[in-house]
Amino acid sequence: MSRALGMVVGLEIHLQLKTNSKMFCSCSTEFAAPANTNTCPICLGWPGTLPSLNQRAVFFGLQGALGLNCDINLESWFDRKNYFYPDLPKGYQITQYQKPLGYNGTFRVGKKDFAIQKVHLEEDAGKINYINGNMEIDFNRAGIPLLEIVTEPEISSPEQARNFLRELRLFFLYLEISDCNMQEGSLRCDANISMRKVGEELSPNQVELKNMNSFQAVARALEYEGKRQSKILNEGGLIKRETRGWDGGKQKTYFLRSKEQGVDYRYFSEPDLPPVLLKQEFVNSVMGNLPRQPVERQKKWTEEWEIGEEEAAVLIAQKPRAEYFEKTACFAPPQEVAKWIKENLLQFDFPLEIPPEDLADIINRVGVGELSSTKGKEVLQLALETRKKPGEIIREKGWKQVSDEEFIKQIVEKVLQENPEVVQDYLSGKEKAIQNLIGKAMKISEGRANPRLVGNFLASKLKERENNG
Amino acid sequence: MSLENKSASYIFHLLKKGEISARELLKDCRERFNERDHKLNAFVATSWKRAEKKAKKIDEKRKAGEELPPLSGIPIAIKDNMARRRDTMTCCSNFLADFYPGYSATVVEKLEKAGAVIIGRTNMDEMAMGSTTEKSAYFPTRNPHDLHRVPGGSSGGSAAAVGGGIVPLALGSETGGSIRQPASFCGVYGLRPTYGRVSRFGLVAYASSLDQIGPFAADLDDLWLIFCHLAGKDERDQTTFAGKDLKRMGENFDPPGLRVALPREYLEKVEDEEISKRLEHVCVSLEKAGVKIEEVSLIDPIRALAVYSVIATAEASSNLARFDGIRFGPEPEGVDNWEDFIKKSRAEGFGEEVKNRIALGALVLSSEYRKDYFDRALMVREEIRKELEELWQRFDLILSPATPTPAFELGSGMEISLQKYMSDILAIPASLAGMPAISLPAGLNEDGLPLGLQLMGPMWSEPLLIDFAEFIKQITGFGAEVKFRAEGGSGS
Repeated sequence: MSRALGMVVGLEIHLQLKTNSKMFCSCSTEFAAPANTNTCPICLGWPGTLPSLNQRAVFFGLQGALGLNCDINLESWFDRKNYFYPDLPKGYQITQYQKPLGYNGTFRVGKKDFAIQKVHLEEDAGKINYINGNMEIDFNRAGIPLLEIVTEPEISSPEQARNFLRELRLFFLYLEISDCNMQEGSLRCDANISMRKVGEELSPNQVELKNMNSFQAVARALEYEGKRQSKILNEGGLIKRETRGWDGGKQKTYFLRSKEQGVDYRYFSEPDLPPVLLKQEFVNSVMGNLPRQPVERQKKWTEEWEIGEEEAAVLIAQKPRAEYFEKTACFAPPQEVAKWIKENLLQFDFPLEIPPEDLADIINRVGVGELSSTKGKEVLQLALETRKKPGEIIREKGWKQVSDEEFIKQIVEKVLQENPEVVQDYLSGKEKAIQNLIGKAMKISEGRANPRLVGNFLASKLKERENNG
Repeated sequence: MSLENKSASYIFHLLKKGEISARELLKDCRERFNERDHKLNAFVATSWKRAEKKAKKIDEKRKAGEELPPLSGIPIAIKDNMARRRDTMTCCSNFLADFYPGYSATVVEKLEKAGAVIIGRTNMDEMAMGSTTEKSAYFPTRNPHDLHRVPGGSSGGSAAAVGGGIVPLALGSETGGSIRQPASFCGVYGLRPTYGRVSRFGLVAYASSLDQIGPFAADLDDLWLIFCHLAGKDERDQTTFAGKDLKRMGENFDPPGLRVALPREYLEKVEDEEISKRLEHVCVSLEKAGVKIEEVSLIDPIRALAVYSVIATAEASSNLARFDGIRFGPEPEGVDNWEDFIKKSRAEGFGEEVKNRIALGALVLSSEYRKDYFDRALMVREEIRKELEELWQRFDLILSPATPTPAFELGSGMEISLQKYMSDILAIPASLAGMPAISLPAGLNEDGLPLGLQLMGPMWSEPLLIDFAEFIKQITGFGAEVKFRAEGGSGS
């Protein structure tokens, strides 16, 4: 008989930090450079070389740790994690094991705070490629600074894991310390998963999942693994401590290696580097200057500016877009701006080629009826193409919307005359026919007539005929 | 004119005056090399052509009236574990038999900038692991005072090159006592600088928290001169510091005010009566000169030695992990997976001593043993450091013998391996504490073998150590014993 088992998941996230140079040498961190061109004796671990710590990496790491509400170790240091692997040049990885940069953090997703166990700095390893059955190692990646984020095992479903990762990615994109690109490997995620009976003590994380190259894959892998483990447990079996990979093609996890005999990494503190000492004032100033977080921004938009949840989600998805939105919203009603961006501008890269005040100008002109919204969009298009000011474009094109009653009256009369059958439709009860007439009037005026006035005028004229008829 | 037994400072003086050219100097050095090194085996590689070029350049500069830096034209030897551009670096290991680093150690750059003419690379125990230079993958080096005896190690080649009169100055490196012990065995001065005083960049690491580069010299002013050129903060080694001023007291040096500690536990380690007598003699002379000498009790150096062997091997097991055959080193054949590739490469590349130390180091760091060995060793190391720090509240210096015995015979088997092991014992406490120490000659024994003493001081006290060593030389007459006894000593 099968019993309900709960899922317990902890995540380990690795972020490549966006420094220009590597963590311990001056090699470039550029992605996709020809193999082994971004290397030097230091990151290749040649004998006699020593690491020199990139202070920018520490700064980024500190921003990350503070952003995740971590306590900061004012004195942290590096350790050596010793193991042999072809992509590991020195035979050890320089990491922070005994004293991480940050610990005891939290990250809020929706209404739940997830506990962050620790945030620490370490160096990336090289990359192994299998080409025609040969192992080829590219050391370009070796020594790129990484920030590792370890969550407490508090995630309880694949969906939660995916949402957590999405929000976390967005958070780091706003911090601008990592590209967070899973395809390029600048964001990587491993998951530790175990199943337990509800109310039971937490078992040690049994299975570690690797090789998941999207958030979707993380969710799928967890789902698969949850079912696999539940089945074994329900049949009275035991889950082996092991590392499993995710096969996206087969949509299955597969055995990679056993963890029964844990690898002994023989950690000890790195004697080639002095401790990382941070002054409280410095930490405070970094804390004080952290960029505003997406959650905060979204909250302000929806609560103070009354932007819809859906529009807010679209706007927040990219930091430059969100910032452009906020700037434009200083000059025009935020709700209107949000609508405009969502409806007309999502295909563009932000920040737009025109200044926010110009976009606001167009939105405002439409708002007060000086431009029809159709013409407004055309002005925007031209502004993007020509970089001219909206006012100048409108003047040149003579697109200023006309609200002159005499002008509108003439047009309406003309439309009524030329479309007797549509008028008849309306009079016989098809109220929608009025839209048709408005459209025709707008066409005659080349879009300049104020459509609201046209509508009002048409309605009163038709009413007259109705009454007369 | 032979320049043997002439100090570098004096040679430079002659060079500046134009009484000798850099090329003549080099020729003189080369003659002695040709005469002696085939017996001493101090060198594993020479670079005469490059040296010629450099000497020529110096002569041209002199003729052009350009300012010459103070080591100009001085022939210098470096240990084979220091990187030098366009040169080999083997660490006397088969693993690096074909290795060209392509970069220069900071100390090498500094010496070259100071005008030094590097003539070659000296023999050492493989990867600096050993106390006799017999663990070299090439051949053992011999003691210039007795060709049947070892020069000490691991910097035995550099010590023999200076003690045998081939060069006036050489660089060595220490983890435990690899400068001071061979200096003492070969009758010259050897300085271990404060940890962090001299950049380790370009020095192949044995144990990073203990490794230091230091000079050998037959003359104290030369030792001071080269040391000043080695010292300084280096961006490429973040464990370096500017430290305290590099300033000797000179005429203001006032030995009678000094307080010197004589640690009982160190004296007890001496196995050779003559060494004890020599120390007593020096003490009597010092006391006569007004120096206050007092016996003290310190942590037994046998504990320091135990702690050292744990920490040094632990760090070595990690430092030597980069030797995996993948990016450099022997590429094994007939393997079809990377685990075997790495295993075979290391099995073929390393000698027994290196393998033993790596194995021991991996063991003491393993989760099963680290608490009892590595973690405890770190604690005792801290105790030793603190005890010495406290001692400096009451004393200026520690005086002791340099080694328990003079140089022992080559090829000694297992039965005296403990003796080899113990020959570093008096050097170890300073190494663990990161404090500077100097070994100084105290004459020869009846067999013509050099005896040595050691001075230890607080952090950054190298100027005091050298001033005081000079003072001992003045009142006792003990100075460097540069000799080449081609027929061997009494051991033959």
